[in-house]
Amino acid sequence: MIWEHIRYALPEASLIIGILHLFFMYLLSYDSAKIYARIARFWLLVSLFWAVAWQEKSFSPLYFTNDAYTLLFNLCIGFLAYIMIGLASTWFSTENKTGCKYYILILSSLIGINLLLSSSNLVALLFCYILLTYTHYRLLGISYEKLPSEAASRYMGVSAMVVIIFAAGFGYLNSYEDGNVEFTALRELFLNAPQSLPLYLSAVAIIIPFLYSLGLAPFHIIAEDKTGKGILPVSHYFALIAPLAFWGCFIKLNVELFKPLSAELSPVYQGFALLSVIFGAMGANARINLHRILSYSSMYHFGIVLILLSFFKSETNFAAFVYLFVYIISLNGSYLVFYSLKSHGEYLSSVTSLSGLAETRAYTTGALLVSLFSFIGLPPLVGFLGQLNAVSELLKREYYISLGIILFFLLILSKAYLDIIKTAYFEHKIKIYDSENKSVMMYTLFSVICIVLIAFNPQDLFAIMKDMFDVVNL
Amino acid sequence: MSMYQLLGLVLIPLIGSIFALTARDDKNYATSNVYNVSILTLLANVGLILYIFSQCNLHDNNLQLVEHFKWIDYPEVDISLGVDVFSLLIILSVNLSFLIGELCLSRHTERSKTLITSELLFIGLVNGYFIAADVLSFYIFFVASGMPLMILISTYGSQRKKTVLIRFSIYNLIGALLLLVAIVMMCDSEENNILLNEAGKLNFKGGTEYFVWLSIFFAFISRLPIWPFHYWISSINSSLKNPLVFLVGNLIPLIGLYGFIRFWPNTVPQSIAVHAPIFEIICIITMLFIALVSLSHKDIRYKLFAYTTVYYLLYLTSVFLPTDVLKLNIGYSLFSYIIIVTVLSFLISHIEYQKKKLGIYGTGGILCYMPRTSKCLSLFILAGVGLPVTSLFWNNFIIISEIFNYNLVLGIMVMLSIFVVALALLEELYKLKDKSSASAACVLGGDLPNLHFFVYLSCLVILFLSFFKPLWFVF
Repeated sequence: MIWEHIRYALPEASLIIGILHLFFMYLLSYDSAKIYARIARFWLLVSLFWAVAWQEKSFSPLYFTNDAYTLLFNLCIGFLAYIMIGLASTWFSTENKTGCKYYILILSSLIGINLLLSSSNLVALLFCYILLTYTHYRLLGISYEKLPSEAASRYMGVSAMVVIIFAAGFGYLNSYEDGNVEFTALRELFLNAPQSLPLYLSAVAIIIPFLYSLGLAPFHIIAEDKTGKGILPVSHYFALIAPLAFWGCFIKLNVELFKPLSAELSPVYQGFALLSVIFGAMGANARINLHRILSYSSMYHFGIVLILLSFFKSETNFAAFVYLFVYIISLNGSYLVFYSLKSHGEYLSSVTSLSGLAETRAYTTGALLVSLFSFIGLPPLVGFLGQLNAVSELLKREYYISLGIILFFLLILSKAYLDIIKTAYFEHKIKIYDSENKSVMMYTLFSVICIVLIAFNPQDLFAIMKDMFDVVNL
Repeated sequence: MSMYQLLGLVLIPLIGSIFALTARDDKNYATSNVYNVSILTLLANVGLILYIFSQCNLHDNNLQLVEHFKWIDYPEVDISLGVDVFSLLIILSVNLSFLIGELCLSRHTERSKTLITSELLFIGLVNGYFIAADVLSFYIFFVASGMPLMILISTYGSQRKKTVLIRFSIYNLIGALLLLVAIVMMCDSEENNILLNEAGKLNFKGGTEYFVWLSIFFAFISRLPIWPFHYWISSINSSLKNPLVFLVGNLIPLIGLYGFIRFWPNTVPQSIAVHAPIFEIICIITMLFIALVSLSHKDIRYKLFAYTTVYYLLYLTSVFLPTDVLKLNIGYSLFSYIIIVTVLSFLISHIEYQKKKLGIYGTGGILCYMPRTSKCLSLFILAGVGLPVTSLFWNNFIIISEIFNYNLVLGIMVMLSIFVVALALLEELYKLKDKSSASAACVLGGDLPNLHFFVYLSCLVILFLSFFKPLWFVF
């Protein structure tokens, strides 16, 4: 029996072994970033292997439940993390760092994410959220004397408040249910208990931490700092992996826990979603740092995901997932380009640093162009699939005003993207770019192929994903 | 059901563009490799178009050789492709004009790989647009064809026009988003993708009907240099010095025009069709305005742009007429027109190149020293303004007669615009041939090379044969 529990904990255990392995190598004073990256990637693959093998098993069924839905998100996150860790090694090599701390923190975060996605109990959820918040704080703290670590302190301060709100919601529900805070029990509670303000507020207290972690307006206080102030590998993590994990958990919570409150939560979600759309589009135009522009761009796109989730229907939930999936793929394309933007050994992040990029880096500029066009939703790129789903669902539900706002602010957001394109193509070259790393080029090419080809024949991929996703809707 | 022939029209240029993109980065060989790839790709495509033509029933006006593809399940969307004689004519003329362009393009163009890759990508996508048989694929290719266009204009456009380009892109994006909403509304009402010729049968009520159709038309207008938005497109087009890029820019209005041709006759509901006079008035104002501006403009490229715009708007005006018998005439006329504009664009580029090379201040009288160029330019300008040697003459005659039949004032305005724009071109031709204003004492070796001269003469033969039988190439 105990052996079985241990066996089912192998996905997380593999990551823990990975951390120990990295630490051991650090003690042996290995100083090659590539070795640390290889170790981290190896144990990540082992973890994914076990996650597939024990896809419906959990080491503690009382607190955690694994199914095809969690596997879907784990695989997406694992795939992105694999690329990210590989690219991070080039960054650390350039900076003459080993990156051991970063890899340890990434593997720790992945443990937190695995557990967060499979939580089926509020205690477990709170625990995983705190674990993730802490690892994120440590990740933001990696500065290597180049960036101020105030961002990390500010993050910790705000996050502590959010965790307290979460804990308050949990505390109330815990006392109401006499300690039985499983999702199924809480769902029954929301369904059958007489409607009361404290109950509603406790639900809101659980939702707020997720909205905050996703950087949705008006809880986006720290969102810009997370991607804009961290070093590139950290920014990459906060832009792609962390949001995907939080969305995975948030969608699950909406379906498994908050569906009985859909009538009350729906207008709130829509309000926050539209606010995010507006703030995201406006903010992106007001920034000159590429990471910050993409941070605001994410806010806009996550607003659309939230508005789709606000309908609490299985088809809109899947449309939200498709939107999220294609956006993350496109965003990954942009981040891969950022690894190519290097001048005199320094990674560049301002829009002006792209001046005249097309003159010397036609492929890189092309890759950036493809991902930016995909954000706008231009066919035949993958972003169009998300846009088609979103527009179709909003029209079906006759949300004409919301659709109008979304499309209007897409035009405003497009202005920010077009400014980037303009700088890359029209402005005169002001930087001499360092030669491109071959592995970065290969990943960029692969990403562009994904962005282009998925849209051509998406039905098999989407059919598999829908089967996996719908597990949570059952 | 044809065996992926139509899909081939899209895929061959796309594969060609991948080859061009991956050509070796060697200054000595890459350029010639890239050009050879593009010429072979275009030859293959022209061959395929002629083969498809031979399989079509030339007397059938409906879409033929329809191919269906399953695309996505959630939401359920199937894609259909199909052609009729009209769309095949347009595809043939576009592919031929790019082939002419490739053969006559200077091999010393900067960033050849970007140019050829984007050009082939554009051809593939624009072919897709012309063979789209359902509303969603129509939208996909409509918007997608704008991407290579953006790359080309960004790479070869004037730096001074960067703000205009952004405005133009956003203006186009508004059109694309409105079209998306309209098309999704159409698809949602049938719970699947619908064929183009069935769009008019959909039952929308009142405001929704107006919204859907006006959105569709706005999207097409966004690709046409229609007053009061004509400035952006004209500004961008006239700043394009590379003839191949100018050709791509010149096909932007064709995309808008084709959209109207596909949607307006037969398809558009009666409640919308009654508003045709509004569109006609806008077209006429723009035609007159651009024609008059061209008269005062000194740049020959702007005059060429004005000529193309006036003719596009002539075709558009005929689309709004309450008759659908003109579609093939528009097709035949467009076939000649696109080839004429291509050749003119390349001849003008040749003159500009020689002027720059020789360091001459003005081009007055330059043709006196370039007999081949002079002959070609004279013949093509005369053919363009209505010399009875091409199918443009007959078919424009029929189109203009129909406009006169419909409304005398409209007919007079159209004639006036055509007259003014013809005058502007002929005036320019006179200046180029006028020996008294020649600033170059001797322009030796500046005439057309043999290959270019042969290509232009072949174009003239093609156009001359189309004068007698528009579909002479179909056996």
